[in-house]
Amino acid sequence: MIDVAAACRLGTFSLDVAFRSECRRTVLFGPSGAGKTMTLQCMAGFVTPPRGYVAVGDMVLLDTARGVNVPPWQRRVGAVLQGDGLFPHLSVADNVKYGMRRMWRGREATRALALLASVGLTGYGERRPLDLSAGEQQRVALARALASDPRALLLDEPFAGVDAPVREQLRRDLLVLIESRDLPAVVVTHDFDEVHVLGEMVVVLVAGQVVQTGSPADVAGRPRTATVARLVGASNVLAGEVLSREGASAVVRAGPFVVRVAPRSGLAAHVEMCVRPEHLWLNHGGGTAATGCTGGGRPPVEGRVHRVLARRDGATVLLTAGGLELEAYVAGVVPAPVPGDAVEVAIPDGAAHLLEPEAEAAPRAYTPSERLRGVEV
Amino acid sequence: MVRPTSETAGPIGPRQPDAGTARARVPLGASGSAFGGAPAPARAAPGRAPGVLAVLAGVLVAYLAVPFVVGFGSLEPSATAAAVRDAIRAGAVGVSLATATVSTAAAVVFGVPLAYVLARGDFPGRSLVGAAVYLPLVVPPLAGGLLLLTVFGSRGPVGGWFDVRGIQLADAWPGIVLAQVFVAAPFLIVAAQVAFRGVDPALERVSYALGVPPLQTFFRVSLPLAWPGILAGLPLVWLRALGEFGATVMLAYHPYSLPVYLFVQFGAEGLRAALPIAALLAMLGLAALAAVRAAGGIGGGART
Repeated sequence: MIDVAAACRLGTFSLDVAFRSECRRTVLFGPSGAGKTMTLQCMAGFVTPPRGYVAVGDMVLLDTARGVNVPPWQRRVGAVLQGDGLFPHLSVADNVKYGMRRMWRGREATRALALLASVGLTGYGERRPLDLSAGEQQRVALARALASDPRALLLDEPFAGVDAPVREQLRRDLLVLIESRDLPAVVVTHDFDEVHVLGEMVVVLVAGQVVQTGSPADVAGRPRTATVARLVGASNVLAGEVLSREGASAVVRAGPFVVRVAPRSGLAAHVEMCVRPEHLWLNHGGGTAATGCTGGGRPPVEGRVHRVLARRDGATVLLTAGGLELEAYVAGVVPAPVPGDAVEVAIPDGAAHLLEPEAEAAPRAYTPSERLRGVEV
Repeated sequence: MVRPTSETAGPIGPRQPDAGTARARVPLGASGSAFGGAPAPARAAPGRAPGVLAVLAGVLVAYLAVPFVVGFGSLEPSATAAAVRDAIRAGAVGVSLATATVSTAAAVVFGVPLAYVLARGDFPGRSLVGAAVYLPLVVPPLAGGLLLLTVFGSRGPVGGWFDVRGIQLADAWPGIVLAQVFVAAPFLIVAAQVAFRGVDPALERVSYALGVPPLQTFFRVSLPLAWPGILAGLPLVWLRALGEFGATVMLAYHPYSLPVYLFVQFGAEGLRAALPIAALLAMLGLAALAAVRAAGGIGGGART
């Protein structure tokens, strides 16, 4: 169990976060400068917020209200922060042995080799850190953190600076390590792909605030605000006006589009909604128009392509339709349109998701001030 | 107007190979190099200082080296050997070697922590402490010796305290060490401070995160990583201590250290008698540099 609340200022940046996770894998996600690293540093004890609370498992590490502040070297939270290198004056094996506790005395060497093997570095013990690649160094850093018998793992952008194929392998290995050791892990990333792979729960941080928590699928499918929508790749954010509301659905008009969406409580007359590029219905000349996709028998809207970006298994199509800039994703073998093409665009029923205004999206259930007053939520 | 890149190439057209580079069109891979044959190793353009600078530099080098050649060249081997024997018999060599070594050790023991605090610490008055380190360099050693006398002389507060307990600081071995440390320690502190600044603070943070408290972290991470830099500063400190005269002559005229002995010999018997002592000091200095260089090559290499 991870329980964090921290409020502090650093220059013009102010951090005011609170989250609690019962999941084994928690991901702190957000754009750079959102306060992810600072949150991790509060947890590791390298930053002490004037008001804060940090608990890992049943161990309270920081509780400013009660004057508890465990120093970093007694927290044992397995922090691997960005820029944390290996000790250059020690061999790889000695790096791993560095933080081993007394209970391992006499067995350090065997254990170091076993840990190195568990991160796929059998036979690396005698090497010098400077001779390793970035990915190998990250693995050693992970083995070194595990060797100190941490009660958790805090990883700050653990795969930054590692080549893509190696990163994929590292992610998989990390998952196995976390699962096999039953360690709660908090991983910081700005890459939503990584959130999907690593996270059971994702905490979305924007400008020092928690704007949304939930499972990666939940956050990707139902982002709360326009900012989160863009962060998770639901890049079409449209302003619209509610035409009607009837029970389980509302009808919203955005430019030339009339869309049926699932409503939420407290719906104002003017709303914002997001549509993922792959959910946008697109028909360009020659392609077979998937009938029924447009929904409600409403006619599709004429649009014009102005840029096409090739992707691994499809293409991202940037287009203008009815005065709106839209992004569509064309998957698979269908020949992608080219700039200048006229296309038909529609937003199928269920493709759009209503967003909350940014201002409303302040921390909801659980704020630091509540936590710091000792209010249980 | 775009300038043509060669006579045969227009402003935009691709450069046509001329006779000399025509072989560049041979497909790569077959012969190893587009230019045919094995590629020659890359070479940096030779650096050459402009003439005026070279002349100015040469004048100084000559000025620094010529006295050694002329002065030590005039030494007679037998007379020199006798003078060195006299210096050893007078105890000056032993006193100097021992005190310079003790002083260097004292500078390390107290100076390394001070340097670390200055490099890492964030405390009120840090800049004042940093400035205090330079105080001994601000005053001439002779004046420094005078100041030391007011504290460690037999009538000074510290010197007096020891004096009534039968321990003489001034005009004794401790006085020589005190004078040498006063003058030489700043060199150690500066070198060590630079060395500690070169140690990535993130590594200390890593150590804390691994459960190792600050003092242990200092000895297991910070000091080993800074050590080559500190070691490189040691010969300077030792030589500064060995050659210390001004403060020493004020605080501890007796027993003679080599520089004081040199001064006394010069006063009593002139240049001919003093020159061999100067040669001896120079030899000791060179030996120290060579020794630390050798030790640094081994010790430093093993540590990093």
